[in-house]
Amino acid sequence: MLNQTDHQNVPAGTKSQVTVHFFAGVAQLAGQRQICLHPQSPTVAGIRAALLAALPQIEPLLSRSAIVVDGRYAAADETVEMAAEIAVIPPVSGG
Amino acid sequence: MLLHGPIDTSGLLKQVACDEAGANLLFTGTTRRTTGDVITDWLEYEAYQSLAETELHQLRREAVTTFGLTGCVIVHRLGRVAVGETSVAVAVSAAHRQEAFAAAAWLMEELKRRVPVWKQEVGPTGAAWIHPEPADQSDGAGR
Repeated sequence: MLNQTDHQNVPAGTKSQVTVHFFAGVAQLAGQRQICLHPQSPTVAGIRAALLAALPQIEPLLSRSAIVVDGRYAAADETVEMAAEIAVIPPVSGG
Repeated sequence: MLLHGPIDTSGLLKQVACDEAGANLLFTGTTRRTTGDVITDWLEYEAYQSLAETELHQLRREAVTTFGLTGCVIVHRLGRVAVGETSVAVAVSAAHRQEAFAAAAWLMEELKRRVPVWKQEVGPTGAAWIHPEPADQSDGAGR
Protein backbone atom coordinates (compact mmCIF):
# COMPACT_ATOMS: atom_id res chain seq x y z
CA MET A 1 0.00 0.00 0.00
CA LEU A 2 1.31 3.45 -0.91
CA ASN A 3 2.36 5.49 2.08
CA GLN A 4 0.91 8.96 1.57
CA THR A 5 3.64 10.70 3.56
CA ASP A 6 6.43 9.00 1.59
CA HIS A 7 4.66 9.80 -1.63
CA GLN A 8 4.51 13.49 -0.73
CA ASN A 9 8.25 13.50 0.00
CA VAL A 10 9.12 12.44 -3.54
CA PRO A 11 10.33 15.52 -5.47
CA ALA A 12 7.96 16.92 -8.06
CA GLY A 13 8.50 15.46 -11.52
CA THR A 14 10.03 12.20 -10.40
CA LYS A 15 8.62 8.99 -11.75
CA SER A 16 9.51 6.51 -9.08
CA GLN A 17 12.32 4.92 -7.14
CA VAL A 18 15.23 2.83 -8.39
CA THR A 19 17.82 0.86 -6.44
CA VAL A 20 21.44 0.98 -7.64
CA HIS A 21 24.03 -1.55 -6.48
CA PHE A 22 27.74 -0.77 -5.89
CA PHE A 23 30.86 -2.94 -5.93
CA ALA A 24 34.53 -2.72 -4.98
CA GLY A 25 35.99 0.81 -4.99
CA VAL A 26 32.65 2.43 -5.78
CA ALA A 27 31.08 0.83 -2.70
CA GLN A 28 34.08 1.94 -0.66
CA LEU A 29 33.79 5.56 -1.83
CA ALA A 30 30.02 5.53 -1.35
CA GLY A 31 30.27 3.96 2.09
CA GLN A 32 27.34 1.70 1.19
CA ARG A 33 26.48 -1.21 -1.09
CA GLN A 34 23.37 0.27 -2.64
CA ILE A 35 21.21 3.38 -2.76
CA CYS A 36 17.58 4.16 -3.54
CA LEU A 37 17.18 7.11 -5.92
CA HIS A 38 14.39 9.19 -7.43
CA PRO A 39 15.91 10.20 -10.79
CA GLN A 40 14.34 13.16 -12.59
CA SER A 41 14.81 11.33 -15.88
CA PRO A 42 14.17 7.56 -16.18
CA THR A 43 17.29 7.06 -18.27
CA VAL A 44 20.82 5.84 -17.62
CA ALA A 45 22.03 9.44 -17.85
CA GLY A 46 19.38 10.46 -15.36
CA ILE A 47 20.53 7.78 -12.96
CA ARG A 48 24.15 8.93 -13.31
CA ALA A 49 23.08 12.50 -12.52
CA ALA A 50 21.09 11.37 -9.49
CA LEU A 51 24.04 9.30 -8.27
CA LEU A 52 26.40 12.27 -8.50
CA ALA A 53 23.94 14.50 -6.67
CA ALA A 54 23.51 11.98 -3.85
CA LEU A 55 27.11 10.72 -3.64
CA PRO A 56 29.52 13.25 -5.19
CA GLN A 57 32.48 11.38 -3.71
CA ILE A 58 32.08 8.52 -6.19
CA GLU A 59 32.65 10.78 -9.24
CA PRO A 60 36.28 9.72 -9.89
CA LEU A 61 35.20 6.11 -10.38
CA LEU A 62 31.67 6.70 -11.69
CA SER A 63 33.09 8.57 -14.66
CA ARG A 64 35.08 5.42 -15.54
CA SER A 65 32.23 3.01 -14.82
CA ALA A 66 29.58 1.34 -16.94
CA ILE A 67 25.94 1.04 -15.93
CA VAL A 68 24.35 -2.38 -16.15
CA VAL A 69 20.57 -2.71 -16.32
CA ASP A 70 19.06 -6.15 -15.83
CA GLY A 71 22.35 -7.85 -16.67
CA ARG A 72 23.07 -5.82 -19.81
CA TYR A 73 25.44 -2.89 -20.38
CA ALA A 74 23.21 0.12 -21.07
CA ALA A 75 23.69 3.26 -23.18
CA ALA A 76 23.30 6.74 -21.67
CA ASP A 77 20.02 7.52 -23.43
CA GLU A 78 18.44 4.18 -22.63
CA THR A 79 15.17 4.28 -20.69
CA VAL A 80 15.19 2.29 -17.48
CA GLU A 81 12.24 0.48 -16.00
CA MET A 82 11.94 1.42 -12.36
CA ALA A 83 11.82 -2.22 -11.28
CA ALA A 84 15.08 -2.98 -13.09
CA GLU A 85 18.22 -4.26 -11.37
CA ILE A 86 20.81 -1.52 -11.81
CA ALA A 87 24.53 -1.78 -11.02
CA VAL A 88 27.59 0.45 -11.34
CA ILE A 89 30.50 -1.47 -12.87
CA PRO A 90 33.91 0.15 -12.34
CA PRO A 91 36.96 -1.06 -14.33
CA VAL A 92 37.34 -4.76 -13.62
CA SER A 93 40.43 -6.47 -12.18
CA GLY A 94 39.74 -10.17 -12.06
CA GLY A 95 42.35 -12.81 -12.71
CA MET B 1 32.09 -20.72 -12.69
CA LEU B 2 32.66 -18.81 -9.47
CA LEU B 3 33.86 -20.48 -6.26
CA HIS B 4 34.14 -19.23 -2.71
CA GLY B 5 36.71 -21.85 -1.70
CA PRO B 6 39.93 -23.36 -3.05
CA ILE B 7 40.01 -24.42 -6.71
CA ASP B 8 40.72 -28.10 -7.39
CA THR B 9 43.15 -27.41 -10.22
CA SER B 10 44.16 -31.03 -10.75
CA GLY B 11 40.55 -31.99 -11.33
CA LEU B 12 40.11 -29.42 -14.11
CA LEU B 13 42.34 -31.28 -16.58
CA LYS B 14 40.20 -34.38 -16.06
CA GLN B 15 37.10 -32.33 -16.87
CA VAL B 16 38.44 -31.28 -20.28
CA ALA B 17 39.99 -34.63 -21.23
CA CYS B 18 38.49 -36.49 -24.19
CA ASP B 19 39.56 -38.97 -26.86
CA GLU B 20 39.75 -36.29 -29.58
CA ALA B 21 42.16 -34.09 -27.60
CA GLY B 22 45.86 -34.16 -28.42
CA ALA B 23 46.69 -31.15 -26.24
CA ASN B 24 45.59 -30.44 -22.68
CA LEU B 25 46.53 -27.19 -20.98
CA LEU B 26 46.01 -25.81 -17.47
CA PHE B 27 46.69 -22.18 -16.53
CA THR B 28 46.51 -21.02 -12.92
CA GLY B 29 46.76 -17.46 -11.67
CA THR B 30 48.08 -17.20 -8.12
CA THR B 31 48.49 -14.43 -5.57
CA ARG B 32 51.99 -12.98 -5.88
CA ARG B 33 53.85 -11.63 -2.83
CA THR B 34 55.66 -8.73 -4.51
CA THR B 35 54.52 -6.32 -7.22
CA GLY B 36 57.12 -3.62 -7.70
CA ASP B 37 57.52 -2.06 -4.26
CA VAL B 38 54.17 -3.33 -2.99
CA ILE B 39 53.97 -6.32 -0.64
CA THR B 40 50.74 -8.31 -0.77
CA ASP B 41 49.53 -10.46 2.12
CA TRP B 42 46.39 -11.58 0.35
CA LEU B 43 43.92 -10.60 -2.35
CA GLU B 44 40.22 -10.16 -1.68
CA TYR B 45 37.96 -10.79 -4.69
CA GLU B 46 34.35 -9.81 -5.18
CA ALA B 47 32.05 -10.03 -8.19
CA TYR B 48 28.72 -8.98 -9.59
CA GLN B 49 27.98 -12.66 -9.49
CA SER B 50 25.03 -13.07 -11.83
CA LEU B 51 26.66 -11.05 -14.61
CA ALA B 52 30.09 -12.61 -13.99
CA GLU B 53 28.63 -16.10 -14.41
CA THR B 54 26.90 -15.02 -17.62
CA GLU B 55 30.13 -13.53 -19.00
CA LEU B 56 32.15 -16.63 -18.08
CA HIS B 57 29.65 -18.87 -19.89
CA GLN B 58 29.80 -16.57 -22.92
CA LEU B 59 33.61 -16.60 -22.90
CA ARG B 60 33.59 -20.38 -22.83
CA ARG B 61 31.19 -20.57 -25.78
CA GLU B 62 33.26 -18.11 -27.80
CA ALA B 63 36.50 -19.94 -27.07
CA VAL B 64 35.09 -23.32 -28.06
CA THR B 65 33.76 -21.90 -31.34
CA THR B 66 36.76 -19.71 -32.20
CA PHE B 67 39.53 -22.19 -31.40
CA GLY B 68 37.70 -25.45 -32.00
CA LEU B 69 38.29 -26.67 -28.47
CA THR B 70 37.25 -30.12 -27.36
CA GLY B 71 36.99 -29.00 -23.73
CA CYS B 72 37.05 -25.75 -21.76
CA VAL B 73 36.61 -24.90 -18.07
CA ILE B 74 37.06 -21.47 -16.43
CA VAL B 75 36.95 -21.04 -12.65
CA HIS B 76 37.40 -17.85 -10.63
CA ARG B 77 37.65 -17.83 -6.86
CA LEU B 78 36.02 -15.12 -4.72
CA GLY B 79 36.85 -13.95 -1.20
CA ARG B 80 40.29 -14.06 0.38
CA VAL B 81 43.09 -15.69 -1.65
CA ALA B 82 46.40 -15.94 0.20
CA VAL B 83 49.85 -15.69 -1.38
CA GLY B 84 50.56 -18.79 -3.43
CA GLU B 85 46.91 -19.80 -3.72
CA THR B 86 45.01 -19.96 -7.00
CA SER B 87 42.50 -17.23 -7.80
CA VAL B 88 41.74 -18.20 -11.39
CA ALA B 89 42.15 -21.36 -13.46
CA VAL B 90 41.59 -22.09 -17.14
CA ALA B 91 41.77 -25.62 -18.54
CA VAL B 92 41.39 -26.29 -22.24
CA SER B 93 41.80 -29.24 -24.56
CA ALA B 94 42.13 -29.26 -28.33
CA ALA B 95 43.26 -31.51 -31.13
CA HIS B 96 46.60 -29.66 -31.37
CA ARG B 97 48.70 -27.55 -29.00
CA GLN B 98 48.57 -24.32 -31.06
CA GLU B 99 44.83 -23.98 -30.52
CA ALA B 100 45.11 -24.85 -26.84
CA PHE B 101 47.83 -22.25 -26.14
CA ALA B 102 46.04 -19.57 -28.14
CA ALA B 103 42.71 -20.26 -26.47
CA ALA B 104 44.09 -20.14 -22.93
CA ALA B 105 45.87 -16.84 -23.60
CA TRP B 106 42.77 -15.34 -25.22
CA LEU B 107 40.52 -16.49 -22.38
CA MET B 108 42.69 -14.87 -19.73
CA GLU B 109 42.91 -11.58 -21.64
CA GLU B 110 39.16 -11.48 -22.19
CA LEU B 111 38.38 -12.51 -18.61
CA LYS B 112 40.50 -9.65 -17.27
CA ARG B 113 38.79 -7.24 -19.68
CA ARG B 114 35.15 -8.33 -19.52
CA VAL B 115 34.19 -10.26 -16.41
CA PRO B 116 32.90 -8.10 -13.51
CA VAL B 117 35.28 -9.33 -10.83
CA TRP B 118 37.44 -7.02 -8.70
CA LYS B 119 40.48 -7.58 -6.52
CA GLN B 120 41.56 -5.72 -3.41
CA GLU B 121 45.24 -5.91 -2.54
CA VAL B 122 45.81 -6.22 1.20
CA GLY B 123 49.26 -5.75 2.69
CA PRO B 124 51.28 -4.11 5.45
CA THR B 125 50.43 -0.62 4.21
CA GLY B 126 46.68 -1.19 3.96
CA ALA B 127 44.11 -2.29 1.42
CA ALA B 128 43.38 -0.92 -2.05
CA TRP B 129 40.84 -1.85 -4.71
CA ILE B 130 42.36 -2.29 -8.15
CA HIS B 131 40.60 -0.42 -10.97
CA PRO B 132 42.99 -0.32 -13.92
CA GLU B 133 43.11 2.58 -16.34
CA PRO B 134 42.13 1.68 -19.92
CA ALA B 135 45.78 1.81 -21.05
CA ASP B 136 46.88 -0.40 -18.16
CA GLN B 137 45.04 -3.68 -18.50
CA SER B 138 47.91 -5.38 -16.69
CA ASP B 139 46.84 -3.35 -13.57
CA GLY B 140 50.27 -3.89 -12.08
CA ALA B 141 49.18 -7.27 -10.81
CA GLY B 142 49.12 -9.07 -14.12
CA ARG B 143 49.59 -12.77 -14.47
